[in-house]
Amino acid sequence: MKRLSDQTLYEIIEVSVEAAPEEIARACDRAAATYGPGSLVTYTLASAEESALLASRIEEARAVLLDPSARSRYDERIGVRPPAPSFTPPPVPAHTPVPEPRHEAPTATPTTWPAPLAPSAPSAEPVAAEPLHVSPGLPLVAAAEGLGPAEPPPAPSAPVAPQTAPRQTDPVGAGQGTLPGLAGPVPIPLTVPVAAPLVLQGPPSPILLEKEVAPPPPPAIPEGAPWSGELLRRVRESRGLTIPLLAERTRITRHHLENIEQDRWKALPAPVYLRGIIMSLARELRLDGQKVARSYLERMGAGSDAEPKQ
Amino acid sequence: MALIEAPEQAMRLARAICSDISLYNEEKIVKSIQQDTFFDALKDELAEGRDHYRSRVAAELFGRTNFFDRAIVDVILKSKARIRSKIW
Repeated sequence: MKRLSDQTLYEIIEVSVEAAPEEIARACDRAAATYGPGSLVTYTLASAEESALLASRIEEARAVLLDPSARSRYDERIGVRPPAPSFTPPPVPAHTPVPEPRHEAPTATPTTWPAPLAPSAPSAEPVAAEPLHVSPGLPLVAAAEGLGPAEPPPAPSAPVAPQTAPRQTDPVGAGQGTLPGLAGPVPIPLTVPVAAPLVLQGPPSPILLEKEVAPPPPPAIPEGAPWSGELLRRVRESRGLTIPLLAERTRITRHHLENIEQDRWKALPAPVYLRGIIMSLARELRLDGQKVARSYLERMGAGSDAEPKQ
Repeated sequence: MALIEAPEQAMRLARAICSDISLYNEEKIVKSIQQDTFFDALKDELAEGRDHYRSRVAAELFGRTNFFDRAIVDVILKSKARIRSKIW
């Protein structure tokens, strides 16, 4: 589940992006009443800071989404509707590479390659102008203006054309790019300020290791096999994930993750809570959350009297 | 662990449990409301939640109140009132 700060205003008040103003107004009232300070709904679930953040986001939703021009700008920012084009890009040759997913090896692209005139490919995802928080250690090569030098990227395993730079290195398309039809990037001094500050934090993430150090192959999972902690651990390792990283991504405490993997059932929370925890964990491991949770809980129910490990 | 005897505390527990169910079964809940199969589709989760609630609340309080059922309506269903369904 997304963190509160990562959710869009539409998600906060639980309406579709096409909701009418009346519906938005009603949703804001409902959300404010449901999740407001002192609400029983969030009383045991959210801290005072989270409740305050939620309340402020609901008010922000009311202010932004009920103002047509502000809403229009916001929609463009979050990529709900494409920004009005200020120019017509020339047709892109068929061989133009499409930007690769974020796990692509980083490039050594100089930061003095702006593409203020054209996006690298028309099929690129809508860009967001919100401050971009990049996961720790993701390959960053764009040292945006004012940020100082970026950390040197790890050497790519193969030369990578600048067009294939990960989207996260330049989410606004202002830091680098190519002019369509040209074989390579055209170095142009950067004169346009980068709209989205890049937040660099933390040491290099183990996710980078996925390309450099081959993780163990995924375990063979026979159809209908019961899901045990051991099996979950093997899947996690095959995805190249560590427990701390998984804990950070899922917001499940490291303690719970270790207990799940070790099948320390007595140390785990009640099934009604554990089901959600396992579903969340399974989703992060790209497994069927419902199936894994059901299987794990069945196995736990059958064997909780004789706990296997401590 | 001592059993809960205060109604307010029991109500809070019921709502917390239902909130958790709602949080992790969003897709299932939406679909089941649309198809009017909510209580069938969420049977296991609700039974599990009710069992846990019963295990934490004093028997007398559990017997004379329906906090868990109210929490199902208030926390899980009411928040999905925007979903188109014939059940409304």
